[in-house]
Amino acid sequence: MTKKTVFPGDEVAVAEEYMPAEGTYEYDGKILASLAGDLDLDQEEKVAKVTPKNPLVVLRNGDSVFCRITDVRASMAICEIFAAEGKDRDITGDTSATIHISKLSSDYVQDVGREFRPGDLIRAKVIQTKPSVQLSTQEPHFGVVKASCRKCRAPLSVHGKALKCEPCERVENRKVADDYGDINF
Amino acid sequence: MSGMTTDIDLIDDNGIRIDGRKVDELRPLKIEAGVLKRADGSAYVEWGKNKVLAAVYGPRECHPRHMQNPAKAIVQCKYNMLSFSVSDRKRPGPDRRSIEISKIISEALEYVVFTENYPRASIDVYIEVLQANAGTRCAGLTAASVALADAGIPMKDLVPAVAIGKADGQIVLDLNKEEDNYGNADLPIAMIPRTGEVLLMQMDGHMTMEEFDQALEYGKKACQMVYDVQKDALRRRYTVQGGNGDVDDEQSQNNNSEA
Repeated sequence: MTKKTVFPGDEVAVAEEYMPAEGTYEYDGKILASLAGDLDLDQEEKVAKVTPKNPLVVLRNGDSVFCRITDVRASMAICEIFAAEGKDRDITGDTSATIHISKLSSDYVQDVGREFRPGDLIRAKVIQTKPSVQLSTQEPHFGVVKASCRKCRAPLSVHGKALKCEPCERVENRKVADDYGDINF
Repeated sequence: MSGMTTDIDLIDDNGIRIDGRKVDELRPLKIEAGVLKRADGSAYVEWGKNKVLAAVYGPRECHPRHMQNPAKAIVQCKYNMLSFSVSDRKRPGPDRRSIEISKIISEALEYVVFTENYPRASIDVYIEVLQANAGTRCAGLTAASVALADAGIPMKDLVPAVAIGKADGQIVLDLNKEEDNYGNADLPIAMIPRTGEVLLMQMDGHMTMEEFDQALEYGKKACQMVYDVQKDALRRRYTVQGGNGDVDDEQSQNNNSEA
């Protein structure tokens, strides 16, 4: 394996020897780089790859993402993904996603509206990216990380398994993540 | 703007231009990649007295939705001249000229980017001219293509651009302000040196067929030189990446606000 920094348009190999893969393309019998990054000529698989220095954030199964709930339907919650956890860069590709009622919690869920409300910020796991983005919040680390009171919009705080609004003393039910309220956006 | 008349000699008897260059000499060119922290990719170009900043975002979801292309990404470029970029204050905002330049730069970049990998997405390129001295569209496109590469967007090649013109009846490379204003022709070209593909070409004024061929020859050589500077800018960006001072600044600010 050879490591070398290449830039778009650089000739990295000949087409007879290697197949183009991520970050490379074939042109006129040659393999050229399409990204700025480290060249990786895989001798086993015979593919020429470029690992980008500044990779795009494309969602994959298992990624942890932050989203805002936009709508609650009978069998699913619809949300808008605004960040991938641990990534500085905005995500590339579809940002609207859905969470099916069966993937919402490890417990039985009768009503999606009892677990998520529009405007809630949640952490979720990507379980499908094509043809549409599907998320899951079954594990304890996933669920609501920030929510506000339905009546007065004051931020809710954790109170046992539920969330409580301090000013108006309302108690609301949610599928909360284990670190509710600890995240600074 | 060419066509205005003047009594000053743009080229002297020794073939030297008013800024001391020979007819086939470029102005000093300096490119720096990755100058902006918040943008996905960025580049800063100083080309003679031109100062141009380019920033790239994306590929990200395209808004408004009706502009999305279900088969490929679109490249949306905004070329803007700041009000203090020229000697008389420029009225801010888009005008006929900057809309045209935005369109041709978008089209040139769309050709090199592998847009089919990102359906429904938009790649946004912002070009800000801080200081203008003829040839800003070429400087802008040169900066934008370095910024795209810095953003990690897959593309066929970098796009160097240069203007060739005619002053005092002679073909000259890389026009300056005076040659642009009082010269006889202006021919901006963007060309991939490796393949010779022309991505942008406009012409203002008149040239004979022979003059045009010579201009193209100058342009081809100059694009290769600009291309080498672009590559060098990216190489420097990725070899000194460890010492990024901005990150530390931001962290110390956050610590202060929490304390």
